Amino acid sequence: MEQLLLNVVTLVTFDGAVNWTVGFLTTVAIFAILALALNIQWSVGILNFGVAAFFMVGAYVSAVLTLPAPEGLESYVAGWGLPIPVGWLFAMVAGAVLAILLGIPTLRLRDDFLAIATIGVAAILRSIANSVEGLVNRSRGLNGVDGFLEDQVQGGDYRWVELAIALVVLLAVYWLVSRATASPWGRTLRAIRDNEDTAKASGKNTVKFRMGAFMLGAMLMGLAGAIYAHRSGTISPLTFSDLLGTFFVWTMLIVGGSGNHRGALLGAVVVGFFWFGTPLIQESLPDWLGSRVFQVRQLLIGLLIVVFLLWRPQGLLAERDRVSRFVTRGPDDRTRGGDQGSVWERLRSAVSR
Amino acid sequence: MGLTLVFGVLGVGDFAHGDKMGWGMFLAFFVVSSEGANLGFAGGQFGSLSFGWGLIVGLLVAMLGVAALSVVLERLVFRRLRASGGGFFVFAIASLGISIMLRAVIQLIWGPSNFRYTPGIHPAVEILGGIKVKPDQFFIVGVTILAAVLLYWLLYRTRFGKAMRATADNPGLAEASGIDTNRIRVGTWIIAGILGALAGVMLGLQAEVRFDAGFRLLLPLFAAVILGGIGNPRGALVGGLTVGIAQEVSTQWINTGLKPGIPFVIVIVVLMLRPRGLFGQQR
Amino acid sequence: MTDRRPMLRVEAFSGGYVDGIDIIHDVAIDLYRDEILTIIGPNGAGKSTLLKAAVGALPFERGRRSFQGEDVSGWSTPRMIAAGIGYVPQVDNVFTSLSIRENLEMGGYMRQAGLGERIAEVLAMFPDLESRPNERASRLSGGQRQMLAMGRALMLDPVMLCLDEPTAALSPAARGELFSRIYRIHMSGVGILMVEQNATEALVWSDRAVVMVDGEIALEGSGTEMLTSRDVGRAFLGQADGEGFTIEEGTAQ
Repeated sequence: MEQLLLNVVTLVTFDGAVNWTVGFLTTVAIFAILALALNIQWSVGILNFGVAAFFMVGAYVSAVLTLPAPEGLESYVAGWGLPIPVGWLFAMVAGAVLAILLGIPTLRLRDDFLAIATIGVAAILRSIANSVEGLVNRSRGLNGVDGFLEDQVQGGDYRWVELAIALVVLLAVYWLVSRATASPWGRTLRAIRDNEDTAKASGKNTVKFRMGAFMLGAMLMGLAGAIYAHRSGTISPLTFSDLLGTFFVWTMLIVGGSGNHRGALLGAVVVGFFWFGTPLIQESLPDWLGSRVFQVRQLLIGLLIVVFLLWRPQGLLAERDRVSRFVTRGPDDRTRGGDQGSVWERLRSAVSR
Repeated sequence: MGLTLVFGVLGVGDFAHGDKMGWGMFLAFFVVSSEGANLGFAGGQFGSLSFGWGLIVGLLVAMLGVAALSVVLERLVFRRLRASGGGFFVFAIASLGISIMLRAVIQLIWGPSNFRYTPGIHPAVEILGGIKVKPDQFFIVGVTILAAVLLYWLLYRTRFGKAMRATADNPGLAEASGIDTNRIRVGTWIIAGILGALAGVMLGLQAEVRFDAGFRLLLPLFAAVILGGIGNPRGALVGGLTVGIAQEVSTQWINTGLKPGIPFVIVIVVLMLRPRGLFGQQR
Repeated sequence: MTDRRPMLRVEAFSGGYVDGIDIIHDVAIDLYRDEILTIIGPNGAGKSTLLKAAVGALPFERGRRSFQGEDVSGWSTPRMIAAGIGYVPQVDNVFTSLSIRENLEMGGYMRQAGLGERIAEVLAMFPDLESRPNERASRLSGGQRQMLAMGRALMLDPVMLCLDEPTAALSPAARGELFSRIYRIHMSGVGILMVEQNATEALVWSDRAVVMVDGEIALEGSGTEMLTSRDVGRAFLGQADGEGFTIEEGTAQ
């Protein structure tokens, strides 16, 4: 994924700087879609540690559907040369299907099981992609994935089209998740997050709602994967590491502010700039640091998570009117009535506890 | 086993446990490797085993180091998070963040290469019926059994161990009974750290010393814990054996590249059939 | 009943789970070692809160607590327990994954010496438990669990035992059995403070009773007085006169 961003040398010229910025914004837009999707799941208390899995499935499904039939040494399924939007659509379907498969055994159980199951599915999908012959070309990866409308545009200008595609999809996704959260469905999701028992008691099928949120998020992750595949042209199992595909997205969400869609966007930009910007300064760093910049960057990503959880759990942009789920469920939390029933009822339930 | 302890007593899944094993592995490696040799530890081998005093010293250093690391993390991070009322989610994400950091530091210090404790080939010896076993493997099995027995004794026969189980069961009541739950938690981290370091060194002895070995083991570990029933040390041991054997045996029939998937399949099947684990009891 | 001094006095005290919102208001109760005092009242009246306040298990409180003449207002629950106030919460009051014996051991965690002897003594009080000390607590019936919870609290030789709805969710037969156990414990020299929803039965065993309504003490009197008082029926249940005293309270919990 690093190679996508142009090397520091190109930054010296104006064109180089523009090119870098365009590439950077495109990548960030794709990650922002992932962060928004993760936020939808997180907002109902789904701990998805396998974002990379959904991202990867979307990318691979769209790639194999739109690629021409395999030739020579290559071996992969499908290869029907379908139109790219069809690939996107099936990427979303694939994400949702994976969510259903994972959700059925785990969503009814303890919260932590889903986390473990998702982290596991990312590992198993990578190992399948790597080792099963004739599926997705193993570790050689898939190459020559076409970009959407690429044949219509003059070579050098295509990066603007890529950026436009990523931004348009991001805006659409942002609009969708904002609408979804503001709808009665979204309110129910919040109620489930804040107090699953109360929501259950008021007759909501919480498993169904959580599954819905899980699927929606997974669809969007699949879509992000598809956009990524068509943008980069090359995907391999290595692309979808846990670090970049999953934890990186989590850092964006936590830094930006969970439970808040604008926070997820901001987090994507800030963390993205930190991550993809570091190679730019690599050359100007003293040698002892410059040669280790990638490890230091990884260290700092982990540190960011912990530091934000400890000192600014609400993220850069706090959730309006409501407290983020990271924030203390302290006494003052109980005084807020809202859809949780009257203060008195809550106190009574506290007494009987 | 360390993981199930933390899981149970602290009520958190420590996603950094695998990387703590990695640390144990590398601390021992530090002692055994040339840097350590200058300190005068290396040298010698025990009979047909592939290592000598160097590794024993390394093991002790690793245990101390990882235990100390765990305690520092508990003080700096987890206790604060607990005080601010964070639930499982916050702990899980925090431990993931820590896991990333630990791995990055290993890479910073030792780089991405793989190492072995002692170079060279160590031939396996034949035991009954043509089964070949390396002498080191006898050592590993022996140490594991010893650790399991010690842990069992600690948890079921000592006051501290019983208090650990009580804290796991019902922290509020434990506190009301006058058990210093903070001390218990620190103690749990220490024990888990020691076990993690032990496991890491054994893993390094059996296979290779590599920066992401611990993290790669995380999934099989969780699979073992879930299989055995969360917070149940006896279950974890059986679960660990089952997962390990299943992984090895499965390569007879399926592609070796798919081996990492086995624990995952086990997790899903167990979750569907027996969510409380094979030995889970009703509460 | 005249010149005795209260063991524990909880007075002029406002407390609750939320700072600024009181569940109980200016309540003062005295507890004596030689009696069983029962607090009854409708749901949400603040009974359990008062009991928790007595053992220092509330996050917020204002008021004074004194124990054997000494001011213990700021003491934490473990300190109160170490001083001789046993406390049995309403739920989650045993370690389910530990055996009966281990539960008692944990109850006596703060004991310096004589742990084994005390376990034997406590077990002797509850024949049901004595016959199988290595059974896991999760396998016990509801009534046996309550006994184990009380046994746990008795491990530190308390002078007072505070019980939060010990018979909630028990069958009538188990309730009777439990009350008689409580009475026997009391006769061995332990003062009892309990909160009860099964008011009629509890009153039979009580020396004294307090009725709480909306966080205040509405009525106070001896157990038998309460049983026959029409005011109790009215204050407690909002019943019209003459409806008798069949109490179906407490099922909500």
